[in-house]
Amino acid sequence: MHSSTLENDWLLKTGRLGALFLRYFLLVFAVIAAVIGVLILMAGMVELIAPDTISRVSDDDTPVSEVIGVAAILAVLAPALWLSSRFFALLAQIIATVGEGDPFVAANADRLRGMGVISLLLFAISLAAGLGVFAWTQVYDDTVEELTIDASLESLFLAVLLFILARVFRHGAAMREDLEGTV
Amino acid sequence: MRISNETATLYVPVQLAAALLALLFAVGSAFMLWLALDTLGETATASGTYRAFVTSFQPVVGLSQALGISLEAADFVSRLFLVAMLAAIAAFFVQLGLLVNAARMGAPFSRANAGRLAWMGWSLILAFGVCEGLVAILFADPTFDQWAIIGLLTLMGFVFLVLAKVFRHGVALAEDLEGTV
Repeated sequence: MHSSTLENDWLLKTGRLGALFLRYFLLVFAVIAAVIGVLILMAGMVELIAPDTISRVSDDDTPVSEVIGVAAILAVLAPALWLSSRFFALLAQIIATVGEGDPFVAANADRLRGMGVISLLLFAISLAAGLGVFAWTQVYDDTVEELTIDASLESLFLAVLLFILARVFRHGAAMREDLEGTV
Repeated sequence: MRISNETATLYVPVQLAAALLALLFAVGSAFMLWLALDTLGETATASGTYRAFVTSFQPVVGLSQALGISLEAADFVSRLFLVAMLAAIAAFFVQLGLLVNAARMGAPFSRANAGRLAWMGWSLILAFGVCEGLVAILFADPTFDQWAIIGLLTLMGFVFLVLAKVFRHGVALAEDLEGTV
């Protein structure tokens, strides 16, 4: 009876499809960002070390430092996208447990906690990126004087929420196991 | 039960924080409502600075033209969105507190908690998807973030709705099992 609930419930069905779509969508972009980042970085390095060996990545108006800057942005973006992809992979797995039967299992508490950890990491990355950009502008662009960090407190808030939910889930799953032990 | 001592240390501060935040946003919402009602009053509309603000503030002018209402009425409507947003955030924290309270009392997996998760999801969607995102797009209001409509918190609202459904199915399954035992 409950094996068919996943197919019958439109919200769970769309949720699962949406999570899976975002998972692979973000993964593709993570890979693209990583590949382009590595390529630009390598080209930039070569140009710095041996300027005449390859055709220049930067035209005359663009200093090499800016090219490496783009690579640095991609180097931050790629892991962030990969982590976001993992977030939705975990969500899809949680929804899938409904189809398998009982969603109140310790594994789902672990998945929720994993989603919380990812949110926390994304917050840390955005914080580090904000500081990095500030440091960059201090060196290369003297017009910027204020430190504006776009690190969203949203992801920190989200992390706390997910940790709480994970704890509630673990609590319930442990109670369930206790009950099953006594029956 | 062996886990209850460990979890109680987490639940109590979370409950306190949720209650405090709920109170804060509820007071904020009430204050904004008072402010919105106050600007409808004669003293505010008669004041020159208010007049200058309303006639120059593009979102209010746009809204007034779109709905064919006076500038003061448009200003009032746009303020109500902020009131609704703060109220929705307050409702979110109220539900979070109740959810954690139910867990502390030893009933984390219940129909009521599934409902609370759904409420939390709808509050997030209302606060950030509708009030922030939609308003920003409709009224081209620069004080709201247009991207909020597909922002992290709106997305999380939908994630909460899905988690609520997961809860509901788990509870239904447990009730089935209890019926058969």
